[in-house]
Amino acid sequence: MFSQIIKSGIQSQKRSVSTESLPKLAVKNKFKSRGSAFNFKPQKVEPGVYHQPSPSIPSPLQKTPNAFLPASDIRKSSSSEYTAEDVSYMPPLSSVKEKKYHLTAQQIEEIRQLRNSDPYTYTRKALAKKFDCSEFFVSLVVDCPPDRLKDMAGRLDTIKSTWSVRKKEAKSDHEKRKQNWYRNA
Amino acid sequence: MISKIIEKKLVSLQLVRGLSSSTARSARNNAFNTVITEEVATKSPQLVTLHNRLRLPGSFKLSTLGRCLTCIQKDNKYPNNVGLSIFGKNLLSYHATELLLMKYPRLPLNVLNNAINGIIGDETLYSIGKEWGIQTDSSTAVEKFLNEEPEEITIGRLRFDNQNKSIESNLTVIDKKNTLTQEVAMASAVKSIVGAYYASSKSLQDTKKFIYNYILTTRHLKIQDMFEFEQPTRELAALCKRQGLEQPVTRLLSESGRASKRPVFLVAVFSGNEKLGESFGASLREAKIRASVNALMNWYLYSSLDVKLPSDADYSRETLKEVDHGIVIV
Repeated sequence: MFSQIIKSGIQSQKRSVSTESLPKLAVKNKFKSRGSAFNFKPQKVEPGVYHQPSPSIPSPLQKTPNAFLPASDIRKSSSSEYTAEDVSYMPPLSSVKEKKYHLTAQQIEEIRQLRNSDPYTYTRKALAKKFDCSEFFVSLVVDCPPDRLKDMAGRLDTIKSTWSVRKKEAKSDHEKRKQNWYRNA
Repeated sequence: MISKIIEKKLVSLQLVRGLSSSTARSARNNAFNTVITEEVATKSPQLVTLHNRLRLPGSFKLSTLGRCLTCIQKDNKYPNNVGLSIFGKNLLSYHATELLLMKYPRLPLNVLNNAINGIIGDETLYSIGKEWGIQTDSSTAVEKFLNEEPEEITIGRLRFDNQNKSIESNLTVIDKKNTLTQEVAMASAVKSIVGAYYASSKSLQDTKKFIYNYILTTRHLKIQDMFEFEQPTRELAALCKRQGLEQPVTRLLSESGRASKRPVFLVAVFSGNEKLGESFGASLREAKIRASVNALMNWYLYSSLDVKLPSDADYSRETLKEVDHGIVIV
């Protein structure tokens, strides 16, 4: 893409006026007036209104995506700004999994029972693997028993107590910065 | 000798209200025996200036403007602005709500409420009142008496029982009983001027023009900074499902320095071939969350091209094109 831009840039710099009238240099040198990059002749721009959007991400106040426009809006277009080929060049961060909806009410009850009976063996990860569902689904079905929650919080506090002052500061700074992700700040 | 004279005069002017019985005091508070007359008000330089500065119509009397500056007070001989202020607040909140709702029909309720508070809240109206040049009366009754301050000067200032009274330098008394802060008092004056504008001009269109010119369009509200999402990725997925769009997929547009200390990832959320939002981040997770937030803001901050307000003369229900389905529930 960049090579294309550079190429077209060179083409646009092609001389359109003869350099015959340029004064000849007295000293003999290697300067080629015909092919020199300094011999820049910009192409003529026709008068008119040109829209040059800033290269930054458009503000939500400036532009609403086509998919979010209501059908009554005149800005709504039937075709997308991007083709399927364009989108295929942009790798997805994670693959979209089809939802299976395969667990029965009995199995869900079993998940609850196992999690509450022995939360140290039947962790979210273990249950997700056993029942072939996501860890998020397990968290929807059953909450972590309060005893384990307290124990894990205690363990985390023990780990945190070993942190140096610099690490503590860095962690708290990161937490503050992380809040901005959700505010678009 | 001097103190004796002052005391005598104070008693004669009935300024020492604490000495009289409680029943007599309450009766005096309810019945306003003095009204700001037009004759006195025309002599007040502050009232005339404010009237001209705000280009108030001739039907808006100077004595009414003087009343707008009289807040609820303990020892008050003039009628106060409470009624006018409530009326003005209703006019203001109607126009502010209407403007925001018609301009951004998908605005969530809590953002809408905060935005309205940002436009016509007490702090904003306080700064507007200050810009209008409303002076506050900080002198005490004794000082007024000693300076022999004429009535027309007194009525030209904003009068209220201040919550923070500075007795001496470096000494302030905070009394929260039956007192107002400067912000609340000034805001009530601004609101009552709006209420009195309609009461005197009797034209809703003129009042609307006044509200827009002097209050609503004087401040720039950054509404895009008022959003915060708890689970943006899930909310966006729920939104797409509700709107019948394809499930959102976050895609990487470009990146720089993945293995370095300061990587930058530029990602976009797509629904099929339609781009919903775009953002960047120092990690893929950050970029993904920011892109989802951007997509949700793109949804909530939709604004139609031709905004017609219900208070406009040429408004009809048919022109209302977009009716919001409400916020996305995750």
